[in-house]
Amino acid sequence: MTPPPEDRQTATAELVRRGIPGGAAHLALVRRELRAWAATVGLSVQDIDGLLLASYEALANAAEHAYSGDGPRLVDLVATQHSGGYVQVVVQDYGSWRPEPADPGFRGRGLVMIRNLAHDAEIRKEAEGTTVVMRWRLTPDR
Amino acid sequence: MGELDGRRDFNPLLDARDPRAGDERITIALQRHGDAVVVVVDGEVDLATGARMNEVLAAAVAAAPATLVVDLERVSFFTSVGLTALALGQRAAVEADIAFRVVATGRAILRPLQITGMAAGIAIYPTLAQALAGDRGDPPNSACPPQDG
Repeated sequence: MTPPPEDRQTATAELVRRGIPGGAAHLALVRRELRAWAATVGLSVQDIDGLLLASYEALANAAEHAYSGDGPRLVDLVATQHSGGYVQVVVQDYGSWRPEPADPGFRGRGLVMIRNLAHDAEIRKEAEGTTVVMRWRLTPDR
Repeated sequence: MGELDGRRDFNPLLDARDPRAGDERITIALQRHGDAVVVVVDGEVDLATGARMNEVLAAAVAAAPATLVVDLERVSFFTSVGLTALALGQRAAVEADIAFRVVATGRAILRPLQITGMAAGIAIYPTLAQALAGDRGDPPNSACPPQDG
């Protein structure tokens, strides 16, 4: 439950949910927790909406990986407010990345949404799983 | 046709949904307006509730109306699951020669449609009356450039 050292230095508020079961009901519960948290960190209303939607897409994407292959696995979400003036949400799964289908469909649209809703998004697909890092700048003048 | 094409678009989690967080977050009504069928979606469309939207849209297409209107005015959270349900519904409607129209003005629904480029390929109306009449007026997505997706 302890964040890595580089996060500990700058994170001023965080929501950590590790080992989320990938089922739809659990994802809805995490979204509610994230909504309550996001309202406290100083994001604009539009960015709160974007953060909730992008984070849900990342969770859904991770849950799909977690359900593929050899049985259910778990998903981690770590949301942090950094003193550098941004909010970061990291969603990580430990499943395998499936080949892209011909029609982008559900998952393709989810990734497009993540890239467009976050101010900055990075999607790392590795052998041991997928990590989605999304950031939103805090703009106090808004 | 009662069965939708493109089953590959369905997410496997839709079948693994947990009943605890499903139907109480969404209400979907199917209404007749003359030769049109209106599907009114109220609530959140996500992994837990998206299957219901798929089912109702398939039923609406199966009813073979001249026009199918999907009213999304009361949708508060619209994910890629909802976008896919909409895309499948539109595909099935077009294949059955049914005019497919969407009512949407709120950001919760317009933003997902616009950032994925889907808004450019769907007839979006600001009110149900205009959708039923086929009167585009000044569509809210007129400034959205077409994208592939």
